[in-house]
Amino acid sequence: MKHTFTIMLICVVHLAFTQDGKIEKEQQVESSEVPENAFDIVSKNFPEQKIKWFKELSDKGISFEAKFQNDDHFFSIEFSRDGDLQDTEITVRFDEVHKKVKSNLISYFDENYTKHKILKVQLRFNQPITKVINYWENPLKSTLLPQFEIEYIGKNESKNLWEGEFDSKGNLISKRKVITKSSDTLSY
Amino acid sequence: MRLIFILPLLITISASGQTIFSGALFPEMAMSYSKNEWMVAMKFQSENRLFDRHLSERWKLNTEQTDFQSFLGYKLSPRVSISLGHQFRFASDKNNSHRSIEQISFVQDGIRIRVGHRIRFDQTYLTNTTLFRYRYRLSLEIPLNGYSLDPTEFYVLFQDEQILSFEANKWDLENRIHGAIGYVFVNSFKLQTGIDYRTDRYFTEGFRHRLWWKSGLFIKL
Repeated sequence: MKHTFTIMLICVVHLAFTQDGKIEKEQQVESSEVPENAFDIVSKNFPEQKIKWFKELSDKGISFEAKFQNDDHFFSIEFSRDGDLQDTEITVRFDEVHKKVKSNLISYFDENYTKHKILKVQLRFNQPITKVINYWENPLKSTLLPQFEIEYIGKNESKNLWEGEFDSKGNLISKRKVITKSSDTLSY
Repeated sequence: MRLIFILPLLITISASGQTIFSGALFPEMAMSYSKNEWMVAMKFQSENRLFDRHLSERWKLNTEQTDFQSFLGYKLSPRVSISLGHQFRFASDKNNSHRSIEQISFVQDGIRIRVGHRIRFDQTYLTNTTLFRYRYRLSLEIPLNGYSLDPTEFYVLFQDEQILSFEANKWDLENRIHGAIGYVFVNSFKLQTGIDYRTDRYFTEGFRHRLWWKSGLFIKL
């Protein structure tokens, strides 16, 4: 009986491991481990902020990310493993989005879902950080037009969690269904 | 939330009276499988008493009860789910019992923390009576590395649950505080171990402190 249980447990654990082999990992690292160029750009432009550095390992390779709070908003700046700037993301509230863009986004959600709930809105920039800072300080004077990454719950036949990429006018570029993490330890 | 701050005070006051203190090992294993909005889960847990100061000062390992639970769940949204469950308890004193369980759970994702709320009602069918319990559990899951919990990373889990029970015209209250450290091998396989501190019989005779060393496997198929 004991052996049967052990064999069953091994089989179940093996099944759990083999069906979920993809590893994406975010690991906090010391600033000394970050490419010099990336560290210089962030520390020069955000000298007052408490920066946390992360190394991200995914199927796309290795990248480095600086994360911090600035003006009560969450900033995330991503670099390649060689220290080249990839993008800057700033988490904002939906009511901070420009009126016209917001109206386009609402039209998209209303046309495509019977019900929706916006959970997270991020502005995404591919331009140099100095330009992003200028935009952040005075968006109306800036020529930069950010893209939007929006996490939302959309309901049609079923409710799903989505991550949508929208252009600067609020038109959908692409979307993907977000696979929610296991909440067994929180619910059972 | 306010109750969480009041409870340690209640524990201190009650501890000054006649109390019972016991310690136990509590292994558990949960397996779940989901397809679209539906989910089935099975859980096994066993209470093995290690010492009981009220009965004996001696350390002795006794399996007191073993529970088998099964759940059928439905996701109302990606963060809200409802479940119906059944438990069968094998008790060492032969007072085996059935329990029906109804629950709703909410999960909130913060920047660095996941918060779980679970509201559960259960009815335990004992030989001469039925025990009704109303439960609320708050859970905080915090990754120890990075802003999200990824495979091959450790996390800590803090939980507090208040249980209001009603049996044969008597109300009682139980509080369970749980702190654990866990490791995610892959998204579908977690190992967790920690301490569970339970106090009960707030309104009846024989206030109890119970300490459990709880360890478990969580597998998602």
